[in-house]
Amino acid sequence: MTHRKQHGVISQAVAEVQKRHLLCYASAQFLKLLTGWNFIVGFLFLVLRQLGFALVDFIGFSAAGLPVCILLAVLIAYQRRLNEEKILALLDNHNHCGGLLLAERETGDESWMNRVAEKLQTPDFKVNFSARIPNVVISVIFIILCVVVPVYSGAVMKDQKINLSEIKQNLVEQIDTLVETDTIDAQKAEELTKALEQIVSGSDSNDPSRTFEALDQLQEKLKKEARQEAQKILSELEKLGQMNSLAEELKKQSASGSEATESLKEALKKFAESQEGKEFLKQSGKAGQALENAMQNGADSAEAMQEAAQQLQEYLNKETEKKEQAARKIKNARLIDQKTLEKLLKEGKLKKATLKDIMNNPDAEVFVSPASEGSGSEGDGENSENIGLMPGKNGEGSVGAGAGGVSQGGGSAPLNFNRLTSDHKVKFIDEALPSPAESSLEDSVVIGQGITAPELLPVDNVQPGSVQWNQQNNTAAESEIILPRHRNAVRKFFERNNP
Amino acid sequence: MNETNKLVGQTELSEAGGRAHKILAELNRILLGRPELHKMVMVGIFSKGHILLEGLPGVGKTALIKVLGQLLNLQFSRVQFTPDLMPGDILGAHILQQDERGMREMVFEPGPVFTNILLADEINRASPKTQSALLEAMQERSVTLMGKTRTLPSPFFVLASQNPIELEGTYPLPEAQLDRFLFKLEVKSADVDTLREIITSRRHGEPPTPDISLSADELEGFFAIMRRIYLPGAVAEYIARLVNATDPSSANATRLVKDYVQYGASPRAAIAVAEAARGIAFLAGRPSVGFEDVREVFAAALNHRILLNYKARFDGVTQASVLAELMAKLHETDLDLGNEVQMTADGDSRQ
Repeated sequence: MTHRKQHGVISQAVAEVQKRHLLCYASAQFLKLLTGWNFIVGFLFLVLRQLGFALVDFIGFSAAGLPVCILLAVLIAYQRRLNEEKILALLDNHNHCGGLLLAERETGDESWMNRVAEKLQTPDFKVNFSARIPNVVISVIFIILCVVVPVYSGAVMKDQKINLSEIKQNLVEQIDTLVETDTIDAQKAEELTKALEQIVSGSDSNDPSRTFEALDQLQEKLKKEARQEAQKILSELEKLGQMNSLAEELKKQSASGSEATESLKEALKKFAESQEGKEFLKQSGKAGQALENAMQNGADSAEAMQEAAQQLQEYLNKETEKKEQAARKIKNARLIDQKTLEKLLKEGKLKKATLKDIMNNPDAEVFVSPASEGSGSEGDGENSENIGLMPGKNGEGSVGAGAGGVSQGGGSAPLNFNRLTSDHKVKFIDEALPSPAESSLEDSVVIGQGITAPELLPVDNVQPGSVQWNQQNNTAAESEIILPRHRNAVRKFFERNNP
Repeated sequence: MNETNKLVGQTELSEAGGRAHKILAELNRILLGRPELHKMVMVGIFSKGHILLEGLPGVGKTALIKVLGQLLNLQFSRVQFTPDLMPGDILGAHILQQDERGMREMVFEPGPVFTNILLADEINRASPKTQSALLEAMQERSVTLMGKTRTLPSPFFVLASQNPIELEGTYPLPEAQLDRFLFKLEVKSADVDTLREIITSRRHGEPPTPDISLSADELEGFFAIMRRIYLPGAVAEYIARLVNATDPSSANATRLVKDYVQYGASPRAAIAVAEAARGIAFLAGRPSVGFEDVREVFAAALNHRILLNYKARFDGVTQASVLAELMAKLHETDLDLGNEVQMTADGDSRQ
């Protein structure tokens, strides 16, 4: 082999070693840079997500770092490329040349080049992946987690409103029910709705108690209106009951075919003169007309009386049903409870009354026969749906007095035991408490006072256990033999801090 | 190309190397069983170095040196070191003599050191004073007595022997003197086959007479070629790193060096390794020193130059184990491949 060829072989081998080392070193540096890049990008993405600027294009952005890492790795590897002299020494050692390669290079004497092998063996390099791969894997997992794991802390920290939609819906329905049952007028309903809107808009998750307190107050208002309406319904039913008696009497008189009795006439007259009568005649329509007709005819006409009775009965039934429906609506809106409703229906049953009662006191409560059980059902037109009157004392069993309401159940607001309320900055005024001796003196009771010094009475038997203080003798000081086991108690007594 | 940098010619080296191999083969023929030892001794001779042989009595230390002297056609002297040996017994002394005219004068009578090969038998038996008498002779190859320096014959070698047992009443060689020996070689006992052959072919253990020998010119030619064996820079750097790594405070020091070495090797050790490596390259017929040549002589050249601490004695760590670890850990080329890049097992010629 000529010298030139040998030189070519050597140069080729040197280049091969350099290339292999460059590749391995660049691979190692790429893994290192990729690890760092993944951590930086993942951290940046976390910050962006927290600020709400995270974009889907993040994947593209992070992938753009790959060629950059490759380029940087190659640059770094090129800067750290091996020295040619050292590569030659490596080749000389690897091929057991005995220093000939080095000697030829250093002396320039090529006389021994023929001893160098025709093809030089080049050593192999390897990258220690065991040190790098775990870091790369961790960085990839980190970046995946940064993209996948939802960010909750930011949302929680935001000032968010309490979810009051369900509560609001209930209250709105209650207000609507009160409007439907004419408990409140539209203006009042509008005011209440506005108040509700204000409460909902002003709700704050940091201080939910204030919101719920306001809602409770609003609820209380609505229930109060409902209770008042129930009272009103009851009183109106009483009046209807009174009129029912009148209708019964008219019916009875018309059935007999004779003319109306004087008492009936008198009752009719009294009724027409009463406030309720006047209102009734004004508002009742056909029933009122029929009754007027009966009254004008002097109740002489049986037909007129019959007509009046019928019309009156129909009117009463209609009104009673209307009141009942209103009561049920209010109950369904959970403004009154079932017990109150049943009481209302039960107490509202019509009882038999006499004309005398009507004549003597048109406004008096008329006692009728007790209603049958199971009232409230949809029965026939005559006896069913008769609202009874309250027997006796006004207010006894009144609707809504002290009646509890069915709660709305658990709220949907998240429970929070850690956040501070609006009162958390309230500082308590330091106040010096009275010394214990004085306070105990204030609460103490003088049990006796002796004029002589207490005398010590010997104790015959030492009772086991604690010292018995409840001696019968009030004038003598209590004495007990103190045993070694009482030592701690005695020491505590004398070591106590007297005020 | 500079003439001084010209490598030894192939023909010249081939002839000289062939002749050296013949001498070596003859030595192997005469003294059976230890070719590696004989090779190292020859390398030491070609490197003009002194050799310390350590072995049990009767293993053939004296016979080796005697045969060597015969093969190399060199003058040979033997001194049996004893505790009462005086420096003058080795170096020589001035003796009052009377000439023909009746005048008395002090005449220098040279001692046995004035030879080519001095066999210092059981050198550790002599007193330190007597041992140190050889210091100047070994290093300077001259002797100074009564203010007058007398050059020793050239070549001059000291081949000393010492007994590793029966150390009572002996004086270990000082480090300064140990450092002047090129090698410390262990002479082991022969194996069974060698013993059988010795018994059958050597009556009374007398080795046969060599058939060939080197002339003075030939030997001088060997020395001339040795001077021209080229030491590449990378190999010299390798030697320097190795010797430097024997110092516990060195950055290249291995764990064993840091834990067990009290004093590392001196620069004289690096020179010794370089010279001995040249001898190996000469015997291998190469005009330049390679990394493998250094590895071959490193242990023999340094095992008596590093001083271990007491901890090594307790832990059973020897100089040989320390040097073996050093050669295994220190790469020849000192390439900075980077933390993550390694050479494969095939790529590492030390495998």
